[in-house]
Amino acid sequence: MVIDLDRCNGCGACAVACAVENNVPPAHQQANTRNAVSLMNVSAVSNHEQFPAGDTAYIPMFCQQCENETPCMTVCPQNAVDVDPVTGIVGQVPQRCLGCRYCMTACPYHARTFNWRDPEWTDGMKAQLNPAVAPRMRGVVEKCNFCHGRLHAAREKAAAAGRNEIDPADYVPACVASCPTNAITFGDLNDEESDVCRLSKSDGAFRFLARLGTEPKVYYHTTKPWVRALAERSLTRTRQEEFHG
Amino acid sequence: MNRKTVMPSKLTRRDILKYSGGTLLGVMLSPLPWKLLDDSAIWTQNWSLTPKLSHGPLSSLVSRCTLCQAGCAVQADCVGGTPYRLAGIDGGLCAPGLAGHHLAHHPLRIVHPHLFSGRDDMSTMTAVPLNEAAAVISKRLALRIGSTAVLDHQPGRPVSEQYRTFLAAADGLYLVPSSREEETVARLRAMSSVPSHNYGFDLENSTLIVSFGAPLLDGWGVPSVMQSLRLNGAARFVQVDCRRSRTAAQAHEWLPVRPGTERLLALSVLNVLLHEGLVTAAVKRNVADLNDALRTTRPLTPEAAAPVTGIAAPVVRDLAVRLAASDGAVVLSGADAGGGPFDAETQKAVAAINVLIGAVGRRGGIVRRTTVPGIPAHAPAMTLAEAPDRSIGVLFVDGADSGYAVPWELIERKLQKDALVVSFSPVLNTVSAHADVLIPAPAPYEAAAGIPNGPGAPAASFAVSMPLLPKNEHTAEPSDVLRLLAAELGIAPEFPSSEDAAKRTAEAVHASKRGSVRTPDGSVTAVAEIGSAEELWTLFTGGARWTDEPERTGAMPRFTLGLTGTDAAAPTMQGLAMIANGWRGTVSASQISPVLSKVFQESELRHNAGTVLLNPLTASSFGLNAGDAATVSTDRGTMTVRVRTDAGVRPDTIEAVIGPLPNGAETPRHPSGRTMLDLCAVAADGTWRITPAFIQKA
Amino acid sequence: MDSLLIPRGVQRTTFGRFLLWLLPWSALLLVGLYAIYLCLIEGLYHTNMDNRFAFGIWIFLDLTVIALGAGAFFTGFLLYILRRTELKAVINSAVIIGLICYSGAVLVLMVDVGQPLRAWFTFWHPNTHSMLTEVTFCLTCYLIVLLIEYIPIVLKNRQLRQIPKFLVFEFQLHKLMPVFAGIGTLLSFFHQGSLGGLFGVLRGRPFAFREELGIWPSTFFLFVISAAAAGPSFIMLTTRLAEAVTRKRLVRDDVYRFLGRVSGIMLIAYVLLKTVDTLIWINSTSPGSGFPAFEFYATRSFGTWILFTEIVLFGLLPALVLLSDRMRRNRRVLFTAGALVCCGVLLNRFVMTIQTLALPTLPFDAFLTYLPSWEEVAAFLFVIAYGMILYSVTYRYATVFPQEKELSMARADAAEAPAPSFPRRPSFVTALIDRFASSKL
Repeated sequence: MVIDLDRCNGCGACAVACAVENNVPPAHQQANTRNAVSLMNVSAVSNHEQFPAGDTAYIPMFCQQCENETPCMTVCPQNAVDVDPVTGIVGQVPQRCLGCRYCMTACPYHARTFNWRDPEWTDGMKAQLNPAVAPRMRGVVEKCNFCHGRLHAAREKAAAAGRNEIDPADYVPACVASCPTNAITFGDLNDEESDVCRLSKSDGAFRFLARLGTEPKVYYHTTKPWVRALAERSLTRTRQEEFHG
Repeated sequence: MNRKTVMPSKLTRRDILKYSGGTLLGVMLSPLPWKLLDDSAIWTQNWSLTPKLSHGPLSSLVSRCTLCQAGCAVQADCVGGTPYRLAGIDGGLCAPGLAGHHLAHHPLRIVHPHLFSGRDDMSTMTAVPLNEAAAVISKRLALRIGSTAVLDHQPGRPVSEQYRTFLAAADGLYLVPSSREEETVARLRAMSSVPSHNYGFDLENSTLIVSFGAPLLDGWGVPSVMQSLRLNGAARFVQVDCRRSRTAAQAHEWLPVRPGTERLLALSVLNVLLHEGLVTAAVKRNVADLNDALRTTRPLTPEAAAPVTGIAAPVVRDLAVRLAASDGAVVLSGADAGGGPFDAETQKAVAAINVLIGAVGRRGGIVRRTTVPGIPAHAPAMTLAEAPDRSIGVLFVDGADSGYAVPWELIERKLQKDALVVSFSPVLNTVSAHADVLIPAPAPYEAAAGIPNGPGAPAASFAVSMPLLPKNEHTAEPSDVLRLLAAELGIAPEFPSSEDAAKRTAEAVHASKRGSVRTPDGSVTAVAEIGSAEELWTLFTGGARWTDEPERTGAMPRFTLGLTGTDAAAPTMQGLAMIANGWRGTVSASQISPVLSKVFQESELRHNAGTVLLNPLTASSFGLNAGDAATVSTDRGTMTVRVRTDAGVRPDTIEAVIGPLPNGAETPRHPSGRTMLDLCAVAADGTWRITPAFIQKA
Repeated sequence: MDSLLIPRGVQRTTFGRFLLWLLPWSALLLVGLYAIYLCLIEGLYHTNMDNRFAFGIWIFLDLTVIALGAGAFFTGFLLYILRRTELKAVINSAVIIGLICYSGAVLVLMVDVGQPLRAWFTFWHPNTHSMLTEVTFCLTCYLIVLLIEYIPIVLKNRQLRQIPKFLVFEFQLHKLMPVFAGIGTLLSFFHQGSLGGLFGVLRGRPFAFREELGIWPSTFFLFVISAAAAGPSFIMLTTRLAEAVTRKRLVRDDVYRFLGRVSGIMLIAYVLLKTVDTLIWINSTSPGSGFPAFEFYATRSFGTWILFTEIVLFGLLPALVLLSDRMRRNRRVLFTAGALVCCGVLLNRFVMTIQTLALPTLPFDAFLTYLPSWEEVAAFLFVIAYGMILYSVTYRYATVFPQEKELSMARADAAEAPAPSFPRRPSFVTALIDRFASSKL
């Protein structure tokens, strides 16, 4: 997956499409940015220049599907995290998850969220849940799995047509499909012919925290120098305005 | 003896141990313990508090979103006939649109007609049958105290036509919200010698789009079309905005004008156009009061304006030159969703630029628009702000949403002392919660609805939103209510249901033989080639949109600009300038799916109501840090808010976010459900762009 | 009835006063129980943990109490394997402290996880690459070992001894004790280490990530050694606390001094290794993952002072004090140094858990703060109350300190003669360190 940060305008459609697709419950009254159940999280990042030079970039952050020593997978005590050897997608088995949250500590992208309470929907909304995705119970960890329900549907379609391989056009995650500015490109990074492979090797493409060596499979792209500089700086000093006891 | 060896009469402890050991081993070798283990594993994996998923055949339906007037085509994936996810067909949906199917099940959804006693207390809300609610209204109508009025947030629909018919019979006022996309074209109609002309913006062919405050790239018009214009189109977006709005941030250029000086900036552009020979002779001939305009703008040179507006003279001069030179330039003004409209003088100045650069009637500029057949052209509707104060005795507020904020103060000002407010909103929101009678209309996707062209569109168009959800039996369409009232009052016209009304419009479209129909799969058919009205209706129910041919007839009217130059300087004020703003469609006359919390409550992508943004320098001068609670006070009152800081905020201003309310926030009818909109000083002309405010640590 | 249960030859307070002593702890126990109920039945939203602070005070204190409870395994190791018989005086106390610390930690862990009913999945579907699997296995097994070690203490009760079967059982168990001590040492070694490994393997948290030695990160070994250093100090402190509460002498001073010396030796080794480890981390590991180490200390609250305090103030200083024979002879200095050692472990575990999570990883992350909710504090106080009650009851009805009788008789005789001390057998290294320490201080 490659995300063009220059095209992203922070509209939030991906986050909503993700929640609708994956049966993520709406926020409880006390929910906030830190205890949210949100598989797709878009952060607004400022360049901290004074008005009117200030600029904002929107950075969609979700499971980066680490390839090398997948941090969450290696730490899970009961194999509730698995990496699909074919697609390379990191999966989470909520039915096996104990809820120890060690994987959340291990993830440098904060891509994992914990179900701090029982999910709540109005009765009518319960009937409108996606039948392909099981809702998660309280006390387990969940994360983006590139819309497993959609992959499953594409595989069923391929099987019905007698094909072994899915048609790439049949399988795009909800965030990709919903992006109004087409900022997200999805495909097989190993396929040299694909758009996603070409974009991941283009100028201005980068990965967050690449030096950790986890080989994430989500790339970002920008032409803005300050966003680029931000991405290359691994750690920013504490922002004064964010820091308060 | 023999017996004793076969069956020992006494069991020793050792025997018991042996037996138990053997039994244990035997049980271990049987499937029983493993089955138990497996079952308990499954049991611990299930959790009774997660909902059971629906079962049923999967299908895909096509409809159109009615959350705003854009009417985007929607594909709904359904299980057992119930939609579980929506996707845009012709361009992406916006975030609220993606969860539009949840609105019918919003926690604040109202399905029964209700009577409220008292305006500020939630506890006095009683459910009544529709007849009883209608009787309350007709009794009041019969008294004929004050005028009857309808506030229609989405004018131009078939149901809007029904309101007009009803009001014509009841001698009432048809009102539209003050903040609209069509602010500039409405002003142009008023300036022109032929006020019956309709206009729209031909942005798809524009090369230079200068916007005074309009949220062009944040939900304006058809959001996906506007985004593709920015990303793929030839047009250059120039945003004149006092705050770094989303549109300002995305535009190619941003002129950070001082709050309240937009009018002066527009006038200084006019100064350059008029006094530096940039207006063609043909255009000059078309302006009735050219000399007045020359005289008015003469002193307002960019150099004179620059210290006030904060925009350097060369920048203004350059903009004016580009506007005059470009043959696809257009200028428009408009409101932020929460910020309120511009005053009439600013609107006039912006409209006048279009006239003087020759944008009116030009490709890529402001073009004439026909009307949808069956929906006749009307004189410009009166805005809410234009209605006489304390004149309305009975006010009907339509349930649809314009996307823009409507301060209750503005509505209240138009009401007589004991006026009756009737809301057709399907949910409680900060407007419907003030009603005396609430007759909930079907929620989005619960009933068919005709969708005319979106505001500002260059051509007339029509589409239909077909229901995806069953209609709740207790809800009533506005036409049902109008029919009941008409019968009581002895008014003749009939009021068909919204589906029948949409069908009639379709018939009229078919009879006109104008334009063409585009289906969601992209195929285009001329109406003249469509055999019957039924056939056209089938296309409509499949998500097709009819678009008219461009208007070609009629000569260009003359324009009377009516510019004035007095009081163009920014008002001096005490305290900080509070600039209200909000996310389109979430600000007052609407609700959004609870799942939208992912955007405004569970992330900081959008700020929610009760948040103020300050420049860190401003904040620290008041001893405030990010996350602090602070009290903001204006002459309308005081409110406790949460402070966020952002260096991109203009120093010495307060950006007050007025929506959306976080999930689980108390119902808007409750006093604590007030928003910052209630602190805004709504002026006599219905504007509230800047309010002097004070802030201190709570 | 009560007096019949009390061991012979020792003085115990009246039953009424004992109940009065238990009263506040029981109250605390009940409050803690309510907090635990809230977290288990209603959900973990009662805590102030969140997605970014996925571990909170519970994990931090669990790590700490397990390190402090390490006295059980290390004393057992010294007594049964290395035959340091002078430790017989505190072995029972060490076992009880160990049992309290471990059972308390496991209990809090069960509240901490979201689906405790699925805890056994770790045994059913273990991920052998996970440090937490190792911790879970060893913790469970070692808890069983501790229970087995605890049984003889209970069985030595005056009344229970009268049942011959129990006596035989206890005797047999006693013979096996070196085996259990060995198993316990092995298990403890692994889980103390794995607890360190828990954070050392976090490649995604460069603040905690450490180079690997073999298959374990360096924190594995640092945790083992620091626990071995803190354990004896904690036994020393708890025993002194018991003395203060009961207003009695329970062990002889030379035992305290021996514990202090053990602590000192382990601590100086720890400080040396920790220093080497920190230098490698600052110069190689951390910059290698793209994070200049000193940026971690850029915030006011977690500046370099924390590093100094951890290594010098709570590390080198008490180590040198405890290695000096002269210093150890001053009881006040000895216990202060012991307290510093325990503080050092507390701070180290704090740094590894809380500071790791507070620090940003993504370039646009903010530094985070976290304050535990009352439920989290109460649930932990439950463990302290439970420990107090268990310790008090065991102390009252079983022989926790074998020297108590002897010491109380000595006091009764008003004998001012100095207590006989075990001959000290200084090794070359400790002698050297002693000399070095005394010359310096």
